Amino acid sequence: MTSLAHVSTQVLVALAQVAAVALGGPLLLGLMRKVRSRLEGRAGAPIHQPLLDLRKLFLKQRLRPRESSWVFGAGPVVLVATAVAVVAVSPLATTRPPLGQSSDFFAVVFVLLLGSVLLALSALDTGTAFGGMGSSRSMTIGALCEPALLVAILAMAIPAHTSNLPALVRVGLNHPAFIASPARILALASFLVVILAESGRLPVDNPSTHLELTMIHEAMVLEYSGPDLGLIVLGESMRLVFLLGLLVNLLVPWGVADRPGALAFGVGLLALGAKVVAVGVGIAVFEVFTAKMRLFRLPELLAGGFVLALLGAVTAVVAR
Amino acid sequence: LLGGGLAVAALAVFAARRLSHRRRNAWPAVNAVEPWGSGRRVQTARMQYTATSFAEPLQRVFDDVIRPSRDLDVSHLVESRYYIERIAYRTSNDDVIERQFYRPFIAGVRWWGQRARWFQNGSVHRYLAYGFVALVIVLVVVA
Repeated sequence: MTSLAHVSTQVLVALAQVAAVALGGPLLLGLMRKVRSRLEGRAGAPIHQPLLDLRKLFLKQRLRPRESSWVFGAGPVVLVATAVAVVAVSPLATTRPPLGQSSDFFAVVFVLLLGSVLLALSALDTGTAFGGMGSSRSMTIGALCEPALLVAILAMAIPAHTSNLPALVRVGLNHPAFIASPARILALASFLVVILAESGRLPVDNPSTHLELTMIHEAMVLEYSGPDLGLIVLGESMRLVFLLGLLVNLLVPWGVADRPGALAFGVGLLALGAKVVAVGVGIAVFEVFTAKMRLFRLPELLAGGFVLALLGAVTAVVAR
Repeated sequence: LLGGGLAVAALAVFAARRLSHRRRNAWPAVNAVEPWGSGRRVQTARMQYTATSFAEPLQRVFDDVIRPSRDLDVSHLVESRYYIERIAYRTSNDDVIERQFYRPFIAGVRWWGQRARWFQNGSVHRYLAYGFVALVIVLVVVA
């Protein structure tokens, strides 16, 4: 039964989650860059620098390559739209997100994949060699890490008898023994490897490289400038925060709001922020001590992630 | 409801994005310029990625499974071997399962068919002998 009050609170929850992730994404990027800079002995830019960059980009003129079509403009828009849609219906700060019964882990993964595929297509649309190179490499990595992701979701869904995201988080909240089960630990380890691959962090892809031949994700966005580039940066940072938020909520769900109410929701947002910041800083520290892997060594890493997920799924089936 | 809710949300957000995107500058604001292309000034259609090149990393990853056949033809200039006049590169993916399983299987079936021709060579005496042997076997089994 949906009443007006119920619907309006759902909309507010969705807007609050989206706003938090949209603001938190660039801030997390800035914080990760700051941590890397400090560890490398530099002072680094301030933490809110990506927000300033976004403001600068959104005020610029829109340009597009001469031979591109509508796909070029649609890429960044769909990327951000899928990220926003997925963030709005996911249990990031609360276990009762709007449209919670239709927020299935598989559906969320495929909506995110839609954004990646359209970005790759729009990179091909520019007609340059580097756009094609970036999208072909990005699609190869995607093709190798999607099976690992799907099997990891299966490994988490089998013990909980559902792949509904809020239900998975709630199961972790109510039965802590589920979290310590080997199936879930293996699945989340595989999920971490997939996050590093999907969001283009080291050792898969160096996000701050200037050399085009080593670029994977950056080569796709080489032709973008102005508001389009701003949308892409925003979309990518939102996807990173979303994936990390899912990871921490499935691993350490305490703090997520289980009861309705603004206070619980606020606590949930703060807890999400603290957990995502902790994992983000951990990734940034890990990045300082890692070098980018050779492109054709990546299948070994992603196959390792797949094997972890497969072991988790087998454990989940055997230990049922 | 499973995908409907998510789809509706996605569409709503998509519409909002497109509207906000257009309002940022006056319409029409998109200027068509030369693509940057890492500083290359001349951009032709031949520099674009084709389907073969797009799939090349994935093909290289699964090289042991697909086993493509590659053909490289380099023709040098008549005057000097240091200069190349033409390069022709051909690659084709033969279906592994068809090559390893279907073709030997079909060859085996065909071989057996050839051998079985001996059983039906048109001689009536042989057919009568088959009937006699079958009758004897049936009598033995029933008894």
